[in-house]
Amino acid sequence: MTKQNPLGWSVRVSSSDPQGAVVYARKHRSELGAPISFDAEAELPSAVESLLGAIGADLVCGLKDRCKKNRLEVDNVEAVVQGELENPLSYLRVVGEEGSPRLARVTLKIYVETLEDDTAVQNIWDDVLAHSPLYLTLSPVVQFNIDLQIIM
Amino acid sequence: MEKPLIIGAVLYDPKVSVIWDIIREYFEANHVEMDVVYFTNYELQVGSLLSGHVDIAWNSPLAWVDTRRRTDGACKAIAMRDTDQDRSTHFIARKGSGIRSLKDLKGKTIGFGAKDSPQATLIPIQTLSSAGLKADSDYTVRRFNVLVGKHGDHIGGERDAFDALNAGEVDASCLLDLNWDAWTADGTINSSAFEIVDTTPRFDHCVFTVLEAFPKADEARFLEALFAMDYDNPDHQEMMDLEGLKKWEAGRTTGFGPLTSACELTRYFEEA
Repeated sequence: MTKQNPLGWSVRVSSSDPQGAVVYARKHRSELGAPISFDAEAELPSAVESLLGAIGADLVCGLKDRCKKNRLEVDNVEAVVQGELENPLSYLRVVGEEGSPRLARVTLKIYVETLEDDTAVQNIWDDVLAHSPLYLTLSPVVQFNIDLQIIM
Repeated sequence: MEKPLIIGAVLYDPKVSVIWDIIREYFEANHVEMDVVYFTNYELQVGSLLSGHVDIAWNSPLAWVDTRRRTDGACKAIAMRDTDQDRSTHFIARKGSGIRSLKDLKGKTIGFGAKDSPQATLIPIQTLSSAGLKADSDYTVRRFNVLVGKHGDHIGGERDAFDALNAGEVDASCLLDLNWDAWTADGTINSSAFEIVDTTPRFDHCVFTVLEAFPKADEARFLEALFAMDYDNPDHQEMMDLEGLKKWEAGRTTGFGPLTSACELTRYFEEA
């Protein structure tokens, strides 16, 4: 048996500005802000928003990829991802509040534009969930509510 | 080097922390270092003021009365918003209901806010008592206990009480004058269907509170920066709009009479 090393990824995160950080992933660069922001005008996406975006991208891109590999034509896939924290006030260290600012629930609405058979798309979706790195990592500790809608 | 002033504030909505961040940046830019500690209710905040864990408490009027009670008056109201002075509460009823004065509320059901709301519960009950109407014997009290502990900061109780009036579940409800003005202006309340039956005596609202022992020099530098806020300065206007004022005023205690009487009448602190 050949000894195989696990495949890993790394990113570098650097911050010299109290308002945000720069994430370097290979040649790519993105800016992120606070862990959570309650300011609708905040300039940068928060870490939580980025995580929700990553979850959406994982599933949207995963679905498009598997549909392509199974020769199903899909015009568009879109996801709306909402996250709820267990207690956002605990992030602000509000004296007397209980709980934590952990992500407690993620609600996803996935819209798939396709003329393909619903059952075929649903089967691929089930396969995507069964192989999604982020969904499988988080779903044991975060409640996921997922609604897949196939539209023509 | 002066140590940062520690301000206590009760928080029920995380978005309010954005306003305090702006205020804190303003004070820091004016060379007054400040940290803000948030509390989930006023009882905890008053306790922290008394134990010296905070220097200045942004107190509700009920928290002010509580602080004064627990310090035997060894505390000071050092500043308040212009909008905290001379407020009143309206008793609202549906037009054509036959309720034209407080006396017409005898035998009726009145919707109040949270049990610890000065403006939506305690002061109206005191006003009714002064008009000869005793709670639960001359009229039925129906409370809408939204976020008890926040002293009525959240308008949800008043809103729920009005919704109950609108639905015919109560005969009258109590509404802070500012909320009546705002909700009749934006259409939440149909002003052609509802009217003000009577109004409480004027009272004061939130106030920055310190203990008597708070160093005068620290009080002075805090107030100097606070009173330098100018609504005509575009850099200050957003902050002041978010905080709901046009001008900071020197603190006064002459406006807490109705609430103090209400607390005595209801034995609020004995039964809380």
